[in-house]
Amino acid sequence: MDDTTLIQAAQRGDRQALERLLREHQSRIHAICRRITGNEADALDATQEALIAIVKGLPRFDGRSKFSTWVYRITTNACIDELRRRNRRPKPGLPAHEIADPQAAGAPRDPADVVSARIDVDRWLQQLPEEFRAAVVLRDLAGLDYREIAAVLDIAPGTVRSRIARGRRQLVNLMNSGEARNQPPPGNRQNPQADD
Amino acid sequence: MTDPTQPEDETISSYLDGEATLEEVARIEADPGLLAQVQEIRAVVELAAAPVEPLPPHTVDRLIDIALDQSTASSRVADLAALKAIRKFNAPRLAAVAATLVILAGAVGALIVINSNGDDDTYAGTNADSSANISADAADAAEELEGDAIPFNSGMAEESLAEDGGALAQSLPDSDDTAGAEEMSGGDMAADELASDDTAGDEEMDDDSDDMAGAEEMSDTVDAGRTEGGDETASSVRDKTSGGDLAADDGDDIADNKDTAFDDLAEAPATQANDEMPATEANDDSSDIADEEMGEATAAAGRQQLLELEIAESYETLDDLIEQTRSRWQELIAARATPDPDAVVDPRIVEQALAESPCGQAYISYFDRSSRSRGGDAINVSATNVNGDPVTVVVRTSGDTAELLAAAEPDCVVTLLATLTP
Repeated sequence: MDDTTLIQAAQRGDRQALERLLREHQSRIHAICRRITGNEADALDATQEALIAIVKGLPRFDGRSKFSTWVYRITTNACIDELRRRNRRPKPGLPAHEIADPQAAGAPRDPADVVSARIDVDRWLQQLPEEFRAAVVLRDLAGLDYREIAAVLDIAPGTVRSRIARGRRQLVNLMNSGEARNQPPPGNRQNPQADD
Repeated sequence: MTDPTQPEDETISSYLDGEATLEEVARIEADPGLLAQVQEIRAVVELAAAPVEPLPPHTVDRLIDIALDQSTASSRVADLAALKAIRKFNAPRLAAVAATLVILAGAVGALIVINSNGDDDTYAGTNADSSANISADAADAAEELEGDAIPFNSGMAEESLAEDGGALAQSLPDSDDTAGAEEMSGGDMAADELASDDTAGDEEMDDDSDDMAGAEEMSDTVDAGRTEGGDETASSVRDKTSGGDLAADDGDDIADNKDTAFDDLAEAPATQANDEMPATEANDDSSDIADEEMGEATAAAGRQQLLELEIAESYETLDDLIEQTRSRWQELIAARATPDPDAVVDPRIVEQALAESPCGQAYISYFDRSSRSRGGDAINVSATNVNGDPVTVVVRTSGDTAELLAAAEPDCVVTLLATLTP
């Protein structure tokens, strides 16, 4: 059953169709949230927000845009919303400069260590301006083309091109300079949900 | 962070993404320097494209379950009608709904003006009481109504009101099932508050005193406060200038993102938030204006509006409820009724109250998600239904919107009852 059929069924109140729709998209939603928010706890919150928004907004989805575009838009906004909530939250724990960071401590880093690099990419991404980060994530992780990203972010394709390019350049510089190693992990939150 | 963008970055990025023009492709492939940069950028692209570790299945299940719960409000309301025959078993939910609708009076500043001849016939008031108490007591009263086998008959009440010169015809059922009333009222009577003499002919008001206990609760709730001419308003209308905007729709908290650097992100399913209050007058003035504009007969009908919102018998779906309440809301706004600032409490109070219930945590979480980013205000009501089960109702108001939530235990269902957008 394709998305269109599921959407129509879900809009008619078919709970199973709605659930299937959510299950089909949740992994990508979560992935985007993970990359944009930079930590699992915020990613979970944003994912939950996005799923709820999809459920609530689905009756009004009129098919003028692709469903995936609509989902990405909701997801991206949920992530940004979560980031702003995070910024308003008090940040418990040690001051940033006291957080242990083996990379910052000068531990050798093997550039070929994919795992480490993948951890770092979250840090680097968090140092990008939100608008660059979203564009990069939607392109590189979600695989959207510039036109789709423009639709999701409601900006011109030329702006998408510029944001992606600038975001990537900053990532390159971060990667090369190791600047991200001296930064605390984004959000500094535990993941209260994933482990229970 | 400085912008270290290099002149060809856009071209290189576009090239990697297959978005470059043929001319750009040719230029890059002819330039070893640019090709080197391509490789540099490609490394970053591959990192950013690294798959994210999937969530554990149980986490996925829970996320989806919570989301799906948001879609069941309609069916729950529909259930109320469908299960009318076994209402007593639906008491918590019905109570929550009934309570919410009564609370709407406080939230939207609905006018309930009772104009009676006798001193003790007056049933109305201002919002002198704190809205939390108002709402709580109103909820109690509503629960008493709900707890009886026979639902409120708004038509009869309205008729009674017209006949009796504006005395509130709070219809109370004939049922012998007054346990809830006894439980809630603590034995207090409110026959005098209900102008029992005036309404003696009303077949819904000729019950024994136990049945009137709910009325006592209601009258206490709305308190008494006279305005000119002896009219009293059950819920005064005031201008509310809370800074928090409550989105009219579920996704609006996301849409609120538009206000900052990321303002170009629009939330897809959301409708426009209501950012501005309708032009209103101050509290008492609004009441007066409303009375003037509505006229006596209209005002009398208006007094019944809230009671007519008793949904269990009237509406089949949540949409019906919303549509009906929206209509009422529009009428109230047209009459310059506005949310009562006294009916707005700090969301922290809501959280604290909810924390005491078994499902409080989930409720708080929902509240947090739904309201914090919007800065919405809230009214909380905690009460018990006829079965003694806690019922919690939250009405969030902001500007000219209100969102009604109800949680009923023991099933701990959190239900979005309605979002009102005049």
